[in-house]
Amino acid sequence: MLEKGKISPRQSGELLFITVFATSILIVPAVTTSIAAQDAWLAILLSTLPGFFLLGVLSWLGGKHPGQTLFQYAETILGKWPGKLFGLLYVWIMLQTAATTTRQFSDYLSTAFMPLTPLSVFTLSLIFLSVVAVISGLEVIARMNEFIILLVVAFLMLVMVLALPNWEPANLLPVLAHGLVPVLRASATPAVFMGEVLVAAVLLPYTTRPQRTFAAGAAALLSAAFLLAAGVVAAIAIFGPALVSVFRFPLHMFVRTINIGDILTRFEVIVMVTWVAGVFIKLSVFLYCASLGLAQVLGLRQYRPVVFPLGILVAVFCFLFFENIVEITEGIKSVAPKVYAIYYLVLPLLLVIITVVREKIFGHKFQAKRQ
Amino acid sequence: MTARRICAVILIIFLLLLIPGCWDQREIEQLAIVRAIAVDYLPGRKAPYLVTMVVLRPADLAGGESGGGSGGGSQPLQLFSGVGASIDLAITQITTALSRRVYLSHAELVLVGEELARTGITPVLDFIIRYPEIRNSVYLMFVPGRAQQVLPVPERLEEAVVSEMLGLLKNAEQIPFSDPQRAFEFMRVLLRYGQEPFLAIMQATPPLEATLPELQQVKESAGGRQNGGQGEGGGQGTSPGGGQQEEEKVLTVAGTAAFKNDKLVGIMDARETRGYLWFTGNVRNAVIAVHDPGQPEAVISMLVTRAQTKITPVVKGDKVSFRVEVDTEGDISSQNTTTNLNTPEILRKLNSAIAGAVKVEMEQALQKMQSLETDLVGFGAILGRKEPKLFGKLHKKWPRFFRTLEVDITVKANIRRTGQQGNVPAGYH
Repeated sequence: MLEKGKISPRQSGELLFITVFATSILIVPAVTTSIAAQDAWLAILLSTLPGFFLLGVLSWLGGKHPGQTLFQYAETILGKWPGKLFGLLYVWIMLQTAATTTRQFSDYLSTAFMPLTPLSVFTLSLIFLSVVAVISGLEVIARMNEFIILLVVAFLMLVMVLALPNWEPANLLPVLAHGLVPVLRASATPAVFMGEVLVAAVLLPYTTRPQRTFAAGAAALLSAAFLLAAGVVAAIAIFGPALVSVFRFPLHMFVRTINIGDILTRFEVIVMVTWVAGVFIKLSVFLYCASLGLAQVLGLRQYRPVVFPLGILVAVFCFLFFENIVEITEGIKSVAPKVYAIYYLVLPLLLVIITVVREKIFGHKFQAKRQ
Repeated sequence: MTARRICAVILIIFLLLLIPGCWDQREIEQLAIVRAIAVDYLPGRKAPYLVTMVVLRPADLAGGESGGGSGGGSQPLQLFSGVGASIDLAITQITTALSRRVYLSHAELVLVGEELARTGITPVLDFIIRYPEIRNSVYLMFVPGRAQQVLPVPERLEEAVVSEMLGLLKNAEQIPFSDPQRAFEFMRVLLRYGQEPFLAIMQATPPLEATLPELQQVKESAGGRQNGGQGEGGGQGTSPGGGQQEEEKVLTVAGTAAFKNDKLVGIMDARETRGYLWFTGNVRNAVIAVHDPGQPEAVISMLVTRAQTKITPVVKGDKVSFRVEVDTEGDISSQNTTTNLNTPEILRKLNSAIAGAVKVEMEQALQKMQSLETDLVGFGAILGRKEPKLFGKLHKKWPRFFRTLEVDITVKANIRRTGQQGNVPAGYH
């Protein structure tokens, strides 16, 4: 066993929540609103469906292979070499997600707060911190998160309540003026983020009661979607859909409108601090999963030696993949849903189908093995 | 273990690096804190945008009362101007004349000049949204003529002209003669189909004493001993000494600059603005005066304490009209007659007289908006919420449609109380 620590189902749920929520709040509101206008919140709620599907598949597979991560049971199901290839694909997508996360967040900091500071300052310090956290192990990340999640949720709630005087609820009407089609199209982008519950496949065997993972993950997914939808509702109620889709980071703009008696103003810095914390956890989770996966695929006895090199890879990727912010937002809007659909829906389903085929047709028993 | 310690030390050093804000570090002593920006458009120039910034004097920040000895005549305002082909270029030009770095996070007011408003204020909005420092909650104000010209007007109650302006804005929100807009409020209406945005008007006008013909005569006969009598616009307090300046001006916030998209199309005066505000129900503290039904030569007035407006579209086939129902209540605030108000009969008569007056006010405002083809109320937007399909066909030609729109206004007024006095005692007369 590479990881000796254990986390509780609640902790794993909290990790999933932060993973889904931390960066979706940056770009998703503008992208969904630009397609679905005032129905963007509906698109976000709908986008949880693929997330639930993935979560269900992963817990079913996890239940069949107790004590094994995605990377390990891929080998049991597909055979040694195809399984390893399969695992490497997932290591790759996790690194890519980590790089996108870092880049998005650094771009946000650069746009909104420190335009003169080189991007590498944000990316490298964040990645360095995450490397240290990942080396410390899953338990440490999970325990840190228990504190950070309070900050993130509490401050977001606070900010939404304080922004209430600026609301113009009529902006949210009419509901479904253009039918369900734009809503469905708009839900593709948030679905990419909801699909990040993929990391449950790695967390599951290290949870004290793995059978509770689905419930915890579902709760995380639902609350993340609700909070995100609430943020979008607030942004649309304040600015109207046309303005929200123009903004790069609508929630940042909406925090800036807060002004209660000229005293309670300028909350964006507090919000930024909590988002830094959230993104740090998210990055740590992805880096952890990628490191553990690579170690398992390569059959290493320890995952710690690969953490630092992978961290450097993430840093390199985040400069290599994107030239500018337009590439990120447009990529997330149009390319990412197609690419991630393969990883989040098609490949896990493939594992299920092969499992069923081997069990039903060839009479192979998977349940018996234990590691 | 030692490796861990080294890690920790490196981490701490990293944190130290981050604390001052990296390359974007700014020391407060090196900032020129901008409190207000005035933007003008100078037609016919290659660099048409004239930007004037009001910068907080660092000495005022640190010293507090220390400059008291140097006289009540306040220190010259620190105005910095620049021109450019865009707003940020103009600001770049200003920086060459500044000993400190421009810092816009504390700007609270953006004044828009008339010429700029006529050519379109999108460049201002773009600047507000795009620039990281300036907030979308700044107030946008329209200034007739050059926006720059209201900045040197001396403050009267507050310690600086920008505080005076902000005070005027805050107060204007309580009285129904204008409706100051924050930048994001303007923008959300601007981007909405079936509604046009507007800005409140700030201007420098001669005080009432300078315009009343009666006072003019007094001044001529009494020389410099001018004393603001019963000026309704607030007593003229600190006119320095006797040496009357010929161009004394005071700041006022009243009226509405009506826009069509981002361009100014017309001005609505204070009365028309109040008529417009009845459509939004935002008319608290309005005083409505009507002729006394018993003694029509004098007036009775009501202070509005509550108003509610309901606007419903009425669609009959292809024909769209609107029903506006206003429900308002208030208290008698003055009576210049001796009519006995202690009968429900007379209150009923007064109610309908007030309702009639409000209706006339609203109709005049509506006529003005229709003649300008600018739907400030948002009838189109209301229709769009109720009948998205129908409005989808209409929204392109809505301004022209609005011009001949039928609006049926019904007003219900209710006098609830008569103040501390039932009626004027007959003995007074």
